[in-house]
Amino acid sequence: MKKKILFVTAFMTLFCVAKAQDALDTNAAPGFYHWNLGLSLGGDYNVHSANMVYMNNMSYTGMLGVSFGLHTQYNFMPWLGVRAEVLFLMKDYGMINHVIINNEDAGMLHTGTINGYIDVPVMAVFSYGNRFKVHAGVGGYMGYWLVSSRYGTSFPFSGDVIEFDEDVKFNSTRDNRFDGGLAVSAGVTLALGKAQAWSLGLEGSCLYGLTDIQKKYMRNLSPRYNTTYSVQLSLSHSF
Amino acid sequence: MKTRKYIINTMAIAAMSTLMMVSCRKEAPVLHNPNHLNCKSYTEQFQTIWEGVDQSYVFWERDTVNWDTRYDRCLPLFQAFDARGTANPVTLDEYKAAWENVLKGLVDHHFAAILWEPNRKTAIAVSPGHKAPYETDIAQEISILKRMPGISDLTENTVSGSKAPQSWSCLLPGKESGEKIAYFRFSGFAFDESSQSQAELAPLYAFFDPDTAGNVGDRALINRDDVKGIIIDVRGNRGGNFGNIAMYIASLLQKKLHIGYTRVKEGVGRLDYSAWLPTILTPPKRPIKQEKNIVLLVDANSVSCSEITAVLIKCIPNGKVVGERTFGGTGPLWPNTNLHDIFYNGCFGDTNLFNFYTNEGRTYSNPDYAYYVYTSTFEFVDLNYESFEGKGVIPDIVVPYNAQELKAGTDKQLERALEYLRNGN
Repeated sequence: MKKKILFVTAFMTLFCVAKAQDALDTNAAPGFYHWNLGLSLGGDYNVHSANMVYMNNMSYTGMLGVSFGLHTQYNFMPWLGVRAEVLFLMKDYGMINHVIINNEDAGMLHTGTINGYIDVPVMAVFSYGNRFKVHAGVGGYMGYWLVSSRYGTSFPFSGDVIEFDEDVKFNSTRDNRFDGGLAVSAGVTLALGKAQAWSLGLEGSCLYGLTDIQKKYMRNLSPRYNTTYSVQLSLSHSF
Repeated sequence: MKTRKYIINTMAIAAMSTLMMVSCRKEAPVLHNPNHLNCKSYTEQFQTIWEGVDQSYVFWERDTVNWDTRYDRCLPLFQAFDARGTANPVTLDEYKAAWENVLKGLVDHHFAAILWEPNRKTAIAVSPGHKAPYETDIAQEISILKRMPGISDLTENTVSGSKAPQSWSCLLPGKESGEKIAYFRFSGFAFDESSQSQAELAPLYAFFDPDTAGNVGDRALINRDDVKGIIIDVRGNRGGNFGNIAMYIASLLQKKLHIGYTRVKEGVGRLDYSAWLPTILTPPKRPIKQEKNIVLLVDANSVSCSEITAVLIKCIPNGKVVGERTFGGTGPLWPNTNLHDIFYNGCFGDTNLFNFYTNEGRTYSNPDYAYYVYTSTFEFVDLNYESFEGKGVIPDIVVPYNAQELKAGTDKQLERALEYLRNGN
């Protein structure tokens, strides 16, 4: 898999650079700036993919979170740029355990896991338009799993269902805190003012994890991945 | 026009590349529920139990056994058994030795694999935990108790079909004239008011006098004004139903007591755990009238619920644990494999095989290589998150077991318990 990732990444990079160089003689459009710096704020929905094999009563569910970030973009030309972002986002997920005892429904137990990540997506951004632009980006991201906590209901051996709420300590044998994968985005921006130096944006993006959140610590490991969809509002300044 | 062409070309390549990368996620292994499998060979039986323990064993974070290496090392043993055929059948000793190799060193001291050998139509059991260095001689200890000066109000149970009494209560002299110490002993936590007769529960009723809600009655030995101390003797007590602790031992408390935490393994991975949930004992609505000093007597054959009782007694200011380090099998469990599929951990396999192996007179037959794995459903730790699994609970006052003195008529552990209650140290 690593070879495949390296090959595709190298191919994409070479292709984009070649195309960019080829078009460098294009005349800059009015309001064209090379650099752009901005802030973004929004919400996300994380989907936790895990194959529960025969554990039919248990399932993972997606959960909403918040995200905010600081981004910068270098535009080679009006239609092509490279953007990097430092993004704090929550990759939360839930787990439901539908308890069935002797073929009788005994109710639901649930756990909500709150995970804070810092991710750095780097994307080639393709734009179309002038004052009002439509853009799409594709690239990859790397990141780090910062914190984790969980809450929910379960039952101890000594009694009835109780609630819990606890910080989760990372386990160095189990937890893969490195985060990486694909990043894609699409959105619109509206340049403001005569100079078009400020712009407002609305963007949807997807971070598709390619790294298992667990290390390979056992033979029969069932991998678990995050896919995070986010919608963000941004304010950017170009110069 | 040229720009648009660049955009379209570049985006098309990028989209293709992205789609290629999406397929880079790893596939899940094919796994089966170990609770519902039929095995047709020694190898299948090994693989099923190995996989079942891999996913249903609650101590993986604490255990030092390299389970993956164990698979690689032991699989050829069972493949060789299958290759031998009927001309050179596998002996039970070989079969047992192979399984001891598989399970050696697992820290769960409740763990037992009960293995059905269909060719010989018999079952063997393999337990990797250590063995206690001696068997508790309950009969001799009771004999000494009965000869104690000043003993009164002795009650023994009479369980029908049992070879020996299983619980006792009595009063022993306190420090001052007229003061008493209430003594209660039981060989297992198996009291069940719904199925046992009044005669069987006689010592329990004399000691606690509980009503159906577990409230301590006025006639209870522990509620007498002249009783200044309490001894609960769980030496040789192999454990049982935690409900007995919650209902009877909690009667000694005046208020709620948090004694520790439990968790289960919850998910496919060895290290997928639930949250630590508090274990809290609640006194009955009408508990003991006044707090009294309590001593719990333990030894190396005090297991499971007895050990959790020791942790409980250590948590209360007026409690002391006296005797020897306990066995070290503290993980509570549900032996009924119907309950395996709640969290997908703990005991798995054929419960009929377990019942056959643990109850005399039952019959069992199976053409397959059946199995039953008896293992803790929960991991228990104290308030400091210390686990006693494989280690046992160390008493506050250590009094070693002495077989010779016991044989000669002296029970040093009981004497030390009485000394503490009479003198306060």
